[in-house]
Amino acid sequence: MNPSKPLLPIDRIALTLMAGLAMITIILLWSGDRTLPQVRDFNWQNRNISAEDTAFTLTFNRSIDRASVEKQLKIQPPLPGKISWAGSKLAYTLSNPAPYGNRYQVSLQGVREAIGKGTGKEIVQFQGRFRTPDRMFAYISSATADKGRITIYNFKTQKPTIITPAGLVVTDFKVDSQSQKIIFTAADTKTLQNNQPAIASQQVYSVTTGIVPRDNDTQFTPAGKLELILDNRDYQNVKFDLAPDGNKLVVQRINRKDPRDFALWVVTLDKSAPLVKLKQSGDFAITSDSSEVAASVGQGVSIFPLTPTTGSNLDFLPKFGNVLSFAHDGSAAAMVQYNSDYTKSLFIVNNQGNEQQIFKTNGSILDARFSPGKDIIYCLATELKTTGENSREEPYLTAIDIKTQKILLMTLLPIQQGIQMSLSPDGLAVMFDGIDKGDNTNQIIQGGSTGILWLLPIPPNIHESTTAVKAEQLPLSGWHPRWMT
Amino acid sequence: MEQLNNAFTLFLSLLVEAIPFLLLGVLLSSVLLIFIDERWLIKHMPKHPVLGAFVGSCIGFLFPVCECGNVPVARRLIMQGVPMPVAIGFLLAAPTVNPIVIWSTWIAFRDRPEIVILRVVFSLIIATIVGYVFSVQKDLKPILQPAIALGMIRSQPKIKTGSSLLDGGDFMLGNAGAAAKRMTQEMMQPPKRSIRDNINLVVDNVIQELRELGGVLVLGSAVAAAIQTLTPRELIVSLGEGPILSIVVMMILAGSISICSTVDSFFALSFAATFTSGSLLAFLVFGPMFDLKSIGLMLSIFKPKAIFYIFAIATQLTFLFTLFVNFNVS
Repeated sequence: MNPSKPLLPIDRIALTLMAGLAMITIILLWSGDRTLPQVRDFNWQNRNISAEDTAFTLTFNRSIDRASVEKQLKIQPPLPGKISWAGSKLAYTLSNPAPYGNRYQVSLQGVREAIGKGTGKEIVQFQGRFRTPDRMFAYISSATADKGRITIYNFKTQKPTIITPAGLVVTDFKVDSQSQKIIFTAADTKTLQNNQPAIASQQVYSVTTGIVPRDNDTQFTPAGKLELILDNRDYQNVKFDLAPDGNKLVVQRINRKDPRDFALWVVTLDKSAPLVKLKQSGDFAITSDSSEVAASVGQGVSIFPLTPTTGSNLDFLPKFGNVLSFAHDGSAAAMVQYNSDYTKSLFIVNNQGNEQQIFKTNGSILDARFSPGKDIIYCLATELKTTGENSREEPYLTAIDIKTQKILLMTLLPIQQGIQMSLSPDGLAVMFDGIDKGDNTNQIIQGGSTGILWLLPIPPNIHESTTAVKAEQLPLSGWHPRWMT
Repeated sequence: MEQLNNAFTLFLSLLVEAIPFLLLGVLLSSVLLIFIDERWLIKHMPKHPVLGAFVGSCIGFLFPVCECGNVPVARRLIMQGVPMPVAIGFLLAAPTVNPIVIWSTWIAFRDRPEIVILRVVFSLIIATIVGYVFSVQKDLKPILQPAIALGMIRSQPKIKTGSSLLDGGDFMLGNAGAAAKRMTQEMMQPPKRSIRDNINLVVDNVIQELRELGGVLVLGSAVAAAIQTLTPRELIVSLGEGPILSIVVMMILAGSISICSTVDSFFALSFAATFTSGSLLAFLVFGPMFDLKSIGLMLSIFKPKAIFYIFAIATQLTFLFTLFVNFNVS
């Protein structure tokens, strides 16, 4: 700018404005920082978290004295976990899922901001809240009035809610990962009265649970909204499994006209894909990522995709007879090996292909589930007892430390067939059923048997616990208990 | 070696996040070349300086261009006689106040909506104020490059004499005996294009913009990844936590790396854990208005003095606003 030239209008206003802005900036700088260090965001604030939520984050508005935060962070009731940092964000990873049915409070006070190597102002006192879902489970009622109907029991309200209609006798069911829907197989009461086996006429349905959704994006649907998913016209629906994503269903079906046509079918519940026929197979389980199915095929276990177009057989494990379950993150599977001496072995196979034998029995291995921390396997098995010419299978439930193979817990169960177990999502209880007369499901439905529901609490410190735990009988009559997720 | 791996991972993740927005931005701005009638727009621009500057700041909704595309559009608008506040408002705000940039900022800062809102509000206020400052200058010759000023003068007759020939301007000689025709705005517009030409125009524009902006994006992502992994962590943290220093650092960073505004929020996000909210805002508001590349482009329209005023006022306002955020809000 040449000073000899007269100032243009733009020079005058721009220079005045710049001087004014400089003044205001100086005043602002002079007045100093008025904000206090505080927690800017707590990602679980007022949320209803589930066993799938394993870590929360606290974000501070500036750098904070980490050592004192780690000392002062309080969670009530206590939840053990590990702290890690990324800049001014703290992540707290829980060692185990938060026990269900609780309200938690996270608080932090008396912590100062970090300025270089020293400390500055004290943080604004922080209190956060979150909660876990009520402890609930579903079962098939065996009470005379509601026989064969799915009932949800809430331990907090101690109220059973029946969600399936009276005309249907439920034979099996699975709860989806958000506890919003239950998929079940059921036969019509009238058909059963003609002494037909339930398996011959059962259809696949879905019903809403009426549980308030955990996330705000999902719309609430009242309980009991029924939908037929697969009818029984051309095929018999033998058994099914629901994928962890809650959208894919694998059903084992037999063609009514041609019993050799015996295969797995994939149903997409949101109807985004047509019904797909997979291959012939025996027992099966869907992988944790809901993309594959592991099924007994011939003399081994075959793992193949649920959408057949993506490729042929991915893997074949000739050593094993069937797959019982997968760890939540898909890192390991529990498999059964049939030995040549007629015994059975439980193996854990991890995703690196390492196999580890956990135990061997001369009876059967009925079910095995990984604990949420993947460090324990809960197994339902039987032992063959022979006295003279008579032999019988005695069922028992055991919890085994996968690393040390130490038996942490062992409970003998009443002798019966078709016994089922369910491990709670927080890993703190196992439910199983007891049936009075030892007859199979179909006979139970048609006969007058009643079921007994048992609850076995698991001590949180099971690795160290030495006191024996005792299963308690619930004042409910039914079978097939399954925890709501 | 591990540092190199980390840098490469960060570089790729920045690219993967940003490329869809860049593609969308380029496609939309190219398609809009066909659909927006600039002449209609110019005719309907308000003459009031503040209102004009504000409306100009909002035209970004019609021309979703980043800071690389806005200078040529602003130049075209000025040459076609758009009031100066409108053009300045557009020049400064269009790269931020447009649907794609707002969306990409939202994707990056979903958990901090205040950043998204304040980015738009601050950009609008700064563009409107600078636009208003330029409205006081009626004679544009001292602030515009001679070629642009000449273009503007030619397009409008200065003195109305009643006789079209005496009014001045460009004329086209007609056939023998016929009067000479004045070259009006309409006559200087290109003729209507066929669909095929339109498609060619879009494709050419998409390829050209992608080549230019894609290159800058790759370079910008590499710089961000390098800064994040090669600079000692303590240095970044100590720079980022000071309420004043962090703003200065981010404004310098914004000015020196010419990363496109459609994707700069992802770049800023990689600093979000360590830098103050005010400094992230400073980066997001100041970057699209000024960087080394856009200064070069702006020199094709304005004389250095005008650029200095735009730069100085925008810098002061950004610093003031974001400092206020750091001192009083976050």
